[in-house]
Parts: sequence; structure tokens; C-alpha cells
Amino acid sequence: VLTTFANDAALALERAQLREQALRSKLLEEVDRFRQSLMGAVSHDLRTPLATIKVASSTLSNRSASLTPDELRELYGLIEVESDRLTRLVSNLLDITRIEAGVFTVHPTPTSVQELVREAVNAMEPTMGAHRVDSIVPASLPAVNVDSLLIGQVLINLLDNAIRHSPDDGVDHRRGTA
Amino acid sequence: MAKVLVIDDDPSLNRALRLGLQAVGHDVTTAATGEHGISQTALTAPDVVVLDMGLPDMDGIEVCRTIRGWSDVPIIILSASAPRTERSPRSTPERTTTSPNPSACPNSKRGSGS
Repeated sequence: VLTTFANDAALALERAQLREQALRSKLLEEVDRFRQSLMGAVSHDLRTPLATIKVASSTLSNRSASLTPDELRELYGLIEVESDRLTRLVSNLLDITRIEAGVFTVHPTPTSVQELVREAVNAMEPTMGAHRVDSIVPASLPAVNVDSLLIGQVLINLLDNAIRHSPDDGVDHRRGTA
Repeated sequence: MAKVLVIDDDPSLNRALRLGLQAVGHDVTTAATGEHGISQTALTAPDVVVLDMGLPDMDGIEVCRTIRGWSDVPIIILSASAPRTERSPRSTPERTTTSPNPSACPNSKRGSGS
């Protein structure tokens, strides 16, 4: 009886271990798929500004290119704006690496929302072109306990996205409520 | 000089390509979506189409196939994530690749009657 019981127990244990291995393997596959998809997205996001910089700089260095002073300024502007965009993307990637490594620290301090929005809008000013940003933040809004650098980066990312994907004369709204 | 249609949803890249191509004498029109790009191809009859693969409304391959249904216009594919395709030796941007890829986007008109 004891031998039969021991055999059954061993079989049950083996089945449980196999089930656990299968689950772990599935999880690893999903993580791998997620990583690949993330790498694809990151690669796309990094290459797009690089492509613009490459096209603009190649045009500027092409002696046979016929450009007006306004067009020259615009091409230099595109290089500057896209370089800033690239810098933000790389900073975000470094932050992700720090989060994964567990060395990312958040420093919340009471911060004025008006100030946060103003700084984000100022940072995006060179990229706005014909876009206009209306900031609607009530003066009565209390200070919020946040890491101003990190939340500022979130606002900048949102503005960047809104500017890139709205019509040239589009209006972006930042509204704060208490 | 050639009539070029650029189909890309990134405003900066669109603008840079327009300025760069116009500066060397090409006549450039742009479209930010696949649907607009297809209609512009029909309306403007470009000599060459520069096509981004990652469009907001439809896949670039789908745009390519649709155009191939009734046109043999050369299509240069811009792809930020296509390491499998060959890079053109004369390509300007890092992500510029040449097309059509025969398996993905046929090089000739579909059927004799189309």
C-alpha cells in the first residue's frame, strides 16, 4: 500500500512540476513577445527623428539644392526640434532602465500646477510651429505632491504627442480642476 | 524633374522630405494617411511614390497593394522597422528602403483587365 501511495504521490508531484514548467515557459514566451514588440516601437520612435535629421542635414549639405532663407531656417529648425525629441526619447529609455534596475527614485514635493504646465509649454515652444496651447488652470488649484521633473516629462510627452498629431492650426487644451 | 508623392504621417519627416526634394527641383505633394495617399496617387499621377509603412489608418503594404491594383508607379518604401529589406545604396534617410518587395507588394498591375 505504501509503495502504491508513494508512486501516486511521485506521479502527482511530477505532473505538478510539468504544469509549473509549462506555465513558466508560457510566461517567458509572453515576456519575450512583449519585449520584441517594445523594441519594435522603440526602434520606430528613435529612427523617425533620425530620418528627419538625416534628410534635413543632407539637403543642407547638398550644394546643388536651391533653398530660400526661410527654407534654410526651417531645415535647421527641424534638426533642432528632432534632436530635442530624440534626447527626450533617450531620457525616457534611461528612466525605464533605472526603473527595471530598481534604482529609480521619486522625489515628491508640493508643486504648483500652474508652474508645471507653464514649464512644460515653455519647453515645447520651439516645436509648436503654428499650434497654440491654451492653458486653463484655475488659480485656486492647490499645490500637488509630485516629482516635478517626472510629471513635467509626462506633460511634455503628452504635448509632444498632441502637437504631432493635430492639424497645423490645431488647439491643445490643458485644463486643471480642483 | 519628377512628380513625387510622399505618404507619411510624421509631420517633420514629411516637411523635411518636401523641402529636400523641392530643393533639387522635384514637384512634391504629400499625404498623411493611406487613404489620402491612394486618392492622391490617382489624382496627381506621380512619377514616384515615397511610402511610409506605419500609417495611422492602414498598413503601408495594404496601400502598396491597392496602388498596384491599377498602377505601376515606382514605390519607395520608408520603414523604421524593416530590417529584412535591402537598403538602397542611394537612399538618403537611414530608414529608407527600396520597394516593391515582390512577395508583399506586387510589382506589376493585377490582371490584364484591371
